[in-house]
Amino acid sequence: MSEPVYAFVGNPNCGKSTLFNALTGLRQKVGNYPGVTVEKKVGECFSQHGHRMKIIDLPGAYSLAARSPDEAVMRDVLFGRRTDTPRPDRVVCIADATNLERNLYLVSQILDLGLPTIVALNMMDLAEAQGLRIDVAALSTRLGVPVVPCQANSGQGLTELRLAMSRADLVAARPVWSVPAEMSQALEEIVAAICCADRHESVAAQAEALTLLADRETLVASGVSLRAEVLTVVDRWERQWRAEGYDWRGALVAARYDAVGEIVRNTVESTQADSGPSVTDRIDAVVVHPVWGWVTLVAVMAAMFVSIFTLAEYPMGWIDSGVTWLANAVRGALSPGDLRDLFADGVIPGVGGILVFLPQILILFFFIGLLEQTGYMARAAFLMDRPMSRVGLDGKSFIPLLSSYACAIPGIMATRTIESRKDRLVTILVAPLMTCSARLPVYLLLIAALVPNERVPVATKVGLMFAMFALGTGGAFFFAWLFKRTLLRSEAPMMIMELPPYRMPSLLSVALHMGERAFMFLRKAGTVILAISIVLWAMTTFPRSPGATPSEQIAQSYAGQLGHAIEPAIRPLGFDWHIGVGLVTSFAAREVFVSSMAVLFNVDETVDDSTDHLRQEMLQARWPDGRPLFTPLVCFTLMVFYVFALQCMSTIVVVRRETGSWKWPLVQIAYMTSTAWLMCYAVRQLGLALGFA
Amino acid sequence: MNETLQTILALGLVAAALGFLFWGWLRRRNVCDDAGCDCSRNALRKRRK
Repeated sequence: MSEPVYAFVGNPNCGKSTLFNALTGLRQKVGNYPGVTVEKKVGECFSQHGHRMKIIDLPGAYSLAARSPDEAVMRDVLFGRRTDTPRPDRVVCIADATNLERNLYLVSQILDLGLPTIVALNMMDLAEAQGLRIDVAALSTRLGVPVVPCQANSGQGLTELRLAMSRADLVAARPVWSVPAEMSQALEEIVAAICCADRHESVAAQAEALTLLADRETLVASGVSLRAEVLTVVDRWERQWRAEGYDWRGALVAARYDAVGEIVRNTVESTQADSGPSVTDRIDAVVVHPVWGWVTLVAVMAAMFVSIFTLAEYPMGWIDSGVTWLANAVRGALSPGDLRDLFADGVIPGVGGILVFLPQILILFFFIGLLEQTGYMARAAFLMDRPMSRVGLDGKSFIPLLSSYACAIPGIMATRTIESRKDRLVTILVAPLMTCSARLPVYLLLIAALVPNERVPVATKVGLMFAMFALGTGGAFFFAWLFKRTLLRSEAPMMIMELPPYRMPSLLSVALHMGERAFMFLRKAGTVILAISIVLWAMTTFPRSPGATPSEQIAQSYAGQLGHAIEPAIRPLGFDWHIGVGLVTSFAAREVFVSSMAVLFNVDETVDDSTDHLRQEMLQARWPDGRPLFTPLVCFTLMVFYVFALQCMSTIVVVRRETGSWKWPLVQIAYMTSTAWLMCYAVRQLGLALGFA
Repeated sequence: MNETLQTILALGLVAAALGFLFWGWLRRRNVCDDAGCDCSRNALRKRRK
């Protein structure tokens, strides 16, 4: 057998990915399944005999009846319906030993497929701690496949699992339950219609017939093409059962659970009398408590944000210094000319401006990985379900929105776990309103110009920063509420989610998760930003104005002309063409506004404390009639603009990719830009009425 | 490196950047066959029944 392909399947939170990471290490490739934005993880490991084995880590699911795109991918790969992924030769089904009955439901469906299967019984330590004694040999006999007990996070049982996977003589699995007698004839007819010659195919056809009977609507809705003659037979039987009042779907689930329950009763023994609440129950008494739960959540979130801002400070400083050093080195190494300017003023600051946020992204994903692995994230989503449901979203939107505080791009990608298409769209549409880290340099600069150090206490600056965070978050909730009642009207979702037991996190998995995210962030944002930085440099450099100062050159450049062109639209907000150029260039990335201001006001970036120098230059900027340009009201209005405006090309590209059309990015640009303008206009009019200049 | 050569190289890079952005746009418009790449058809698009 040449390079067998294994599929890793299992319920969510059963430790499947930890096991996959432990077996494959760094020998894995992460991408997307074409056609769906579901992550595809493929890895390699070696058998006991040194032969290469390919492993596909399929998304977690509770059954083959798919509810979300992730679950549909799992089902389609197992049935060999995806042209981009080979049908697995063998399956490793990971089951959580602490909750065997529920996990065996999926195992029994996998056994129906007739593929050689191994059951990995994970979290045996937790099961023993709960007083559960599992007769592994009896379970293996009952299921008819090898059962390997293991602990993925500590590596126990991995050798035995690898040994089982290395066996050439794994037999094809067989069903461990019986279809209700009322349905056997129907099943025979459907299998005959699906039609197969050899035994393997007929077993697979029976499994396919069962998914058709259990969940035909979802199967058809997810684009699986089914032959008309098969659907005719299914239709006939469904009509007959409906007329007889027979609940065939319920009967299928009940029959399977009966068989699974019988297996569990004969193989699992609880050695502990009811000794009161478990450790998980005791922690949950606080963590999901109506009052203490919120206190815990606020404390955890506060710790995460403080870490993001404080721990990232040093590496961000190093990267920033590295970028400045590199720009200066290029200036020193090349003779004056366009290529030198392109690298020193375009490519290096442009790409460096994105790289500088990498530490914050990594820290955020470290915390998210840690919270997910310990089981706390499910509790946070459970707590957030109530406030989210007030605006029509469910708790699952909480994680994408939380991720958007670092960067909207991973936040938008994290919406893939939301089952409802409309809820995912609403979450994607409002995610960029959360205050991402790219807004911070803009806010810091404007706050410095608005409230100089010498006049106000630090608390005022912190308060202003917090107000911007609150305005963005409030805006996201308001627009989610509005979209759920207008464009994307749908029933308020009912969230059903499992609260897994608390467990020690695997640092290897957290590190791999961080590595994946870092790579995706750099690849997806970096390539586009690099190209746009080059194009923006050209827009600020051409057409040339011989003998002009740098600020005059920018004023007459294509970017400057664009700034002048949009000045009539932004003048009612108190912004001039300089700010217009900043707004146009920062469309590539918000933080570009700061470097644009530095170029426009001719600030030497090599000077120490250039932010303070820039602030002084900005405060001295004047309108042609001599009025100051950056008044406190203009600075505040500009911050409000950045709260609401979608000034991020990468976000637009990602939304387009995730939604599959330009319609939704355009809706997003339109509603966010018009809200930004209207809010700024309202703030300016209110400020003028209150006597601010 | 003289200024003319620098200008030619810089403009070449600008053209390459524009080409890359255009290629990226085209690539996202087409259904791709690489299992690890991005794709235009996706989960949020309504499927034809």
